[in-house]
Amino acid sequence: MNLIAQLLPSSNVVVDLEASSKKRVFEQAGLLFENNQGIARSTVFDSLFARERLGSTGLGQGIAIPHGRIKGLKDAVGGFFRLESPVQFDAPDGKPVSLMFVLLVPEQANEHHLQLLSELAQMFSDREFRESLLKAADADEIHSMFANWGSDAPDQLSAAL
Amino acid sequence: MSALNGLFLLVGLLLFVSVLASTVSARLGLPLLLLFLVVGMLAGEDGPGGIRFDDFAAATLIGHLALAVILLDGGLRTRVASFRVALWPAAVLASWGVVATALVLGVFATWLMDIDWRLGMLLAAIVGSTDAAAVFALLRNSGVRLNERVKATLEIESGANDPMAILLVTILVEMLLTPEKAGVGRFLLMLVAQLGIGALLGWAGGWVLRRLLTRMRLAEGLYALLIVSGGLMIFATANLLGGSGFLAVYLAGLMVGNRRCHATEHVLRVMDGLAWLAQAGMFLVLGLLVTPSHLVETLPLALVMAVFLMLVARPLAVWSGLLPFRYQAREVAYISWVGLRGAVPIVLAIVPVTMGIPDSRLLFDVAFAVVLVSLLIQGATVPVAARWLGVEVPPSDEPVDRREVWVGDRASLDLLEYRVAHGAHAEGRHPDDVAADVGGIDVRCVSLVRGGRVHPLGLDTRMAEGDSVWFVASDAHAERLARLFSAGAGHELSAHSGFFGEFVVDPACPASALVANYGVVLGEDEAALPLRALIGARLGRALVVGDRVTLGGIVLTVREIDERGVVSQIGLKCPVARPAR
Repeated sequence: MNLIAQLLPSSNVVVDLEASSKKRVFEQAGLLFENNQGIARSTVFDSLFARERLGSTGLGQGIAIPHGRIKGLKDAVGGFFRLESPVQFDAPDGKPVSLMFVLLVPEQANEHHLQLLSELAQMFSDREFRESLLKAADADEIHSMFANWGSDAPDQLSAAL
Repeated sequence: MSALNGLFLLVGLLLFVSVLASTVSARLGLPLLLLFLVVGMLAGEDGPGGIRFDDFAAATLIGHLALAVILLDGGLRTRVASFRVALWPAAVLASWGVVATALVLGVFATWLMDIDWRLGMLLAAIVGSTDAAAVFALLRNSGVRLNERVKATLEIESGANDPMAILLVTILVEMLLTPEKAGVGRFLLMLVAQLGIGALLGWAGGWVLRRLLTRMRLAEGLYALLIVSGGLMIFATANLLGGSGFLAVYLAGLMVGNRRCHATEHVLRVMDGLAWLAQAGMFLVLGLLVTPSHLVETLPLALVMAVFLMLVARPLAVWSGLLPFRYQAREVAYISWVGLRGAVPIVLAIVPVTMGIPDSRLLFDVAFAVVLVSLLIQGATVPVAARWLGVEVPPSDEPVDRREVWVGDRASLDLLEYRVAHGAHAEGRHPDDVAADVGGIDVRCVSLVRGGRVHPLGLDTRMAEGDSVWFVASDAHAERLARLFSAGAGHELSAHSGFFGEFVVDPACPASALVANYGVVLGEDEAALPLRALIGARLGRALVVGDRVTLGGIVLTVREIDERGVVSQIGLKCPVARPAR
């Protein structure tokens, strides 16, 4: 199992989320983390938005990985959202975002947490992986795709390095 | 008549062969200049051509004329904006750099060849300057985009360092021929005259030419002739008055080329052809002039000289000259390596021969061989060394083609062409929607070409891979538009994210945001700075695209710089986990 799958509980995978803007998506994300992990939704929202002020977390090709540091959080935790209709994200290539991985890390963020971000970017740069995420029937299928990523192609990561 | 036509046929044939052979040189990765030189040598006395040519005076004539044209063209294409990062470093290299190279190499040559120290110094001075023709041609045709600091330094240096080399050669020739007249005061005066008169005439002449170009209405083809003839007058006048004609004509080109007007495009297009002709002609003639069998005799000597120049003299000169400017070690290494020698040393080596200095044929042969070795080894490794030393930056996002349409004297429209790449944002969308994303009503699609034909634009038109689309838009939108038409290569989510980092951040954002979001440790005064100022403060020099700063594992890379020299985009890269195995 890879680093990412360890921090993505299956209950944190949401498909076909309906939201009209970046702001609404972040509100939905806050709600999810409040229900599942007990992190106050406003904390999540504020932390994600603070990061966006530094520059968009949109990566291009319809992918975004919003992230933030959360006070009092013990372990990094993630949530995956597939949006019903893409939302504007000011990504470098101008494409609206339809797949979003939210990453929350403890306040004492260290190098390991930064590596999670590049690992995520690495994962999503795999075109086939992106396409199958868009096609997947339900949340369970997506969760197992994250869990299996890299196992069938162990050289993917090292080839890209 | 038949002799005359025989000459025409020969000239035509040599140029024709050189042009055809240029397609091969690109594939072999050899500099084109070297090829012209080799064609000339093959046509010469030792080759199958068998032409005897040892008219040093004619070679000097052609050499000077061609160098003037090449420097004019180089000036026309040098952006004054590049002075922002490299004017002073290049000026130091063009003066101190030449002197230092000549001193170090001169001492070595005197010892190695066991000759009069003035002869040794003369030889070193001859090969002391880098060559504008070679540097311009190789940097522009090498297919790599160099970090702007390195590129501008090399280009400005090569355009401006010939006066110094010429001065040194003149001084040493005088010391050999009339040692009683030589004096430090006289040489200083000569230096001041060379630089002062050259700069003044170049500036004034360029200013006049620029005014003429914007005001006059001529047939399209005549604009370039206006500039070439004007440039030649400036070159000759400067030389006649004791100034540096090379410096003057380079400056004149710079003045003319940096004020766009309705005629600039015409001038540049014709000048491109003329510069090629000058290069081909000059190197062919120089190739004809040399006697390859003599070269073989001096080759071991020349090889040692060339290696010492490349690995000791030039690096020492560059390192000492750039010390105050805080260049990175790999930048210094690259600038040292690309100290290309070319036509200038050969033309300079003719001077002592025509002046009748003893042993000057030996000097000529050694200088020629040093140039050959430099072009062959350094010239062929321009792209490889750039990659190796990490001074390369990804190609900028640019339109496939751009045309300027001048309406009146001051106003112009930019027509920009883009091609739709697979997976680009523009694919499958209407041109107007893409235009609206970038510049609102400032950007207008005027035509869509599909399969070589103009495709009628309708409300339901969707762009497909391979379409070429023409927009009317201000040049300021060109890069942003280009990004919508390009796609990241293979494994990249956005264009060049592998180099700049996966995220794009706002340069105006205070650095404290890095502290808040990533736990980066910064001093209080640093945290208050905008990101662009933080990078500037850490590196302590004018920034160029590709400059990097590492902060607690995070790498910030300058991604875009606007025309005023302000950082307008920064890339952020997170550290990559080492695969556990």
